[in-house]
Amino acid sequence: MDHASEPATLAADGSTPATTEPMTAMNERVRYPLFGVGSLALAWELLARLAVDGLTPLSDVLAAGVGLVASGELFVALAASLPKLALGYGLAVAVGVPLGLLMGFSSTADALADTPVTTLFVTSVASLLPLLIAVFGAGIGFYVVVVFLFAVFHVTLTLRAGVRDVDDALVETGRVFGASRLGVYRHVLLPASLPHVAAALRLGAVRAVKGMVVGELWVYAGFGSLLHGYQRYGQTDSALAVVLVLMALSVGIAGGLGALERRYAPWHHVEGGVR
Amino acid sequence: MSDTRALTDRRRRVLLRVASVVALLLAWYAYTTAARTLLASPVAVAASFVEHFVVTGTLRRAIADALVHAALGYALAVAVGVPLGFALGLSERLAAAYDPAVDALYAAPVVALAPLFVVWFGLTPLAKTVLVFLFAVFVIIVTTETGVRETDRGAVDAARVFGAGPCVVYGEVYLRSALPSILTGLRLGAGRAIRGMVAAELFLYAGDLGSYLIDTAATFRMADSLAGVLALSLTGVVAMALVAALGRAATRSGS
Repeated sequence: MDHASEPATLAADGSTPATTEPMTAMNERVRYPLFGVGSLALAWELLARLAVDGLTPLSDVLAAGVGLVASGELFVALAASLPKLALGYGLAVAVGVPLGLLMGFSSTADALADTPVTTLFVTSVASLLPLLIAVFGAGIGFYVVVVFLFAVFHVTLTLRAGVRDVDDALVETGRVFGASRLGVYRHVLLPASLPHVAAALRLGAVRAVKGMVVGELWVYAGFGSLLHGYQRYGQTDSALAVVLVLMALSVGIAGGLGALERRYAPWHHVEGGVR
Repeated sequence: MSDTRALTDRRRRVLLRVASVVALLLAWYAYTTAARTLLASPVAVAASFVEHFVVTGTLRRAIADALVHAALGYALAVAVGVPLGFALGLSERLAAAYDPAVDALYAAPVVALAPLFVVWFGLTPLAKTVLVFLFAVFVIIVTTETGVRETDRGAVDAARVFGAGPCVVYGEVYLRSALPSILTGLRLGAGRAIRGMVAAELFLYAGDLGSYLIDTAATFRMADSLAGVLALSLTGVVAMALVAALGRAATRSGS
């Protein structure tokens, strides 16, 4: 955030245009979202207190969330879940990124892999759960496979679409300036693809968290056992707190990847997954 | 000259495509005959699919039953998602305020709400419908928003200059410009709705479809189980193709 310090020095010079511009940027990035989230939170609280009987007020949910942290339940669930998530996601990235790049760059590879990848992409992984549990049992292998299957095809196909979009004119320019075939890959296609890799990784992370939750709900493990337990005793406040934590986990990982992207591939941002 | 080259190129790609599928099926078949494995052979899966989906029709009826909730939830998602996306696409301030919340909800694992739905709605069709709704609605909001926001403001101004009222500006200029993006959203939403339907069958309460998937796998009838998975994939593909075809028909009659 270099330009965060910039307005201060410019403001000292009394340069008004420079100070108003970052102010609106600040409005866009901080105040408006704050207002948006705040208004939704208020609406939730009021609806729960005044109108909808079964809905737990947000304040109770947040209190339950604090309790979840204090009792350590949250960390137990996180400690159990994160390794599965990391393994499955890592595997999905290790397979999906090379495959997506290959399919995007080479029409031969695309023709070979397109039908199986697209078929698996449209297959509901949830419908495979009963079968996967029968084959793998409830061990770590089951979760890793579920997370992997949830994420890998989204990573592959997002990346393929992105790489295909890389402007042909860029490649031509590279050729005109005398780049070799390898040089075009190294200096044109790879940097131009990197933002798409970032977008694919973000989307993949979101999908991986969904896979983890689906797997754990099916086996009543980790967050799944928490949620099922709260359901049994009607503790909707704690259950909603867990849902908020899972949402934060998903957004947090995607946001962290976004920050990495701004650091290492700042030349072009591709929307997708979480903006 | 370039025509014939494009033709042979396309023919080569079709050949590669067919060859890869045939090779995979053969490898799958060879693996299941050579190794002692739980995995069913593709022939057994196809036979089971024909038996349960076509001949006896148990699978077909189970999916048709589940589709009722899916269709309701999807219709609700379209009715809510398109107007919301329109509002967010039209107003920059609204988008600045609510985009982060929409993105967070889009990224959130909706299935985690299933245990809560059991508390709130009980084991009712309403719970399934709401779950499908939440599965489908966010992708519809986001794509509609993008389409509306990318509308050419010049066209909007031009319409206004020529005296177009709000009906024409929103119903014609914005809608027509955003339509391709909205249709993408509706198509993706249909796919999401089918996934939501499966999740509802497995995580809320099992109708015939959920029972089919669970029972066949629990008794290690792998071919039957995979036939169910296959039927659901096809259902998703058909649902998405149907929405796309309806969209194309609507676009053509509208212009």
